[in-house]
Amino acid sequence: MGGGKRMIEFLVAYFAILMLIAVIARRKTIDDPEDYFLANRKFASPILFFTLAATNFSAFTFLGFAGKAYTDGVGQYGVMALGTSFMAIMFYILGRKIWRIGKEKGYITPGELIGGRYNSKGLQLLFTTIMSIFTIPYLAIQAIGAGYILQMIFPDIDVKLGAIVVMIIICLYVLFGGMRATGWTDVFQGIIMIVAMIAAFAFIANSLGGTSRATLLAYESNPSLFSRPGPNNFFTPQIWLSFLILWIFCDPMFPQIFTRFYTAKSEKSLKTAMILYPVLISFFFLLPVLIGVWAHGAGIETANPDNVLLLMVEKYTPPAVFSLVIIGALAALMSTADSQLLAVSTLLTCDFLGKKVGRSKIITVMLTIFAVAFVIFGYNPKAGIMGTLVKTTFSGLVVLFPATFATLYWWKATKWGCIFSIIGGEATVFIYAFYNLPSFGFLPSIIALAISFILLFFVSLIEGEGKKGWRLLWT
Amino acid sequence: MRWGIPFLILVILSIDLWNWKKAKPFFLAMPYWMWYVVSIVLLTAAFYAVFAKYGWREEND
Repeated sequence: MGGGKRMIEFLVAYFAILMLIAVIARRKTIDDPEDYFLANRKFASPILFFTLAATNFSAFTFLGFAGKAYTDGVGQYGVMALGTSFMAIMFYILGRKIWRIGKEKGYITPGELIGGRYNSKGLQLLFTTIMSIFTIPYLAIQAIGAGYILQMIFPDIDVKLGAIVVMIIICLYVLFGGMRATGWTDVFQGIIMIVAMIAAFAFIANSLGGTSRATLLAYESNPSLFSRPGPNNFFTPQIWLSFLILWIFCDPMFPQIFTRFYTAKSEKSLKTAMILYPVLISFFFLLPVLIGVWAHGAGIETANPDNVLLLMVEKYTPPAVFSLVIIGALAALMSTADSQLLAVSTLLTCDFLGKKVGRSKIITVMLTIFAVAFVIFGYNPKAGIMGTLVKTTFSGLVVLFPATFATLYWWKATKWGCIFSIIGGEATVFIYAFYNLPSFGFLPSIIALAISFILLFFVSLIEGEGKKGWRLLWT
Repeated sequence: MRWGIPFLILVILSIDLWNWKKAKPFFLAMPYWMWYVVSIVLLTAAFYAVFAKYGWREEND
């Protein structure tokens, strides 16, 4: 793979448009906490929908889906499309209440809402700390991902340099326009992702003699790609159910998604996003999965499955489409990373240092420096405690759901119920990460989620009811 | 609660154990069970649309 003059032009134009959007957003933004952190709670339906989608659909969606389908078959579409579509009901179950309470009380962070209900600063800081701990390493990993994407088109450029350039651009537009810049750039980047994926699919299908022929070739190459559990027996019914549960409960616990519930202009914005989410998913998730399995019929062989989409695009589409897909992959990565950067800096600033925009900008720069240092010092993303955090990001965040749900709906929930639920859930996640314990075919995160729910229920009963609670337990 | 039942039915239908280990027959470049999944996803969108109109009471209602 290599980059030509056109690729450079595309890339420069893409970065220039991002900065232009940021400058325009800057003009509309004042250094008021509600305006900088939440775009003054004024995101209308189209912006809210695109920013929720582009933030949630990362480089994993764009490149990783094709890679996973390449190794484990088309079952990848089912677990991702169903789980993410069902997750959109959370825009009603959580989003509506979070939006209402946030507007009424002036909340900006998830921790404020959880701690506010129980009047507990300790719980607020615990919630924020957990959200940040599991998001910061993920942000650093995205920086490395950006470096690798750029190296695919410019092999002579060091991964580190590409990662630094992308992180600096992200940092700049977050600093410029806060949530407004992030939301607006998400719309632009979301459209690029969709157009790039459709173009890649259309050209590849055409080059392989049509969709039916492309599928037939792949089926003849390996029939098990088209049935579950797939070639490596990955998609068992337990894993299928695990992923459905994981996406439904985990996605809204991403700080970058949770804080977006505060930004809605009205409940109508949330409704529209909820309806359109599965419509987009129905076809957008299908395209990389089919390209991934078609690679078998096309004779593509690679040791790194995450490259399979780009290899297919390079082989079967004109250079302009290849350039567009590279930009699409970068857009997918950057639209997630910018939201993570803003969300974590918002959480750390507002919950630990006070609602000061200036301080948040310092935290944003520090987080960017951290991500860049992570790349410069050649940290192995698969090793050490950071590696464990990256691998357990979804598990680590999903155990925040019981406390969040109970805070909004269960009036017997207590502060200690939430604290035990979170700490017990996280302890389970780490025990499973380091010890080979039985999980009965399910993902360990589902066990951690169950333990988190159980602890919340019983500890709340005990704390809330005193001795009466103990009697309830044992009778 | 009455809105929870159709949603739960969609979730249960998405665990299509009866389609496991089946690839054929194919229809328009995909195994028919994948079209089944697409249908569930689009039915979910339709459910959300109906729920948003009739079941989701806005703040000022």
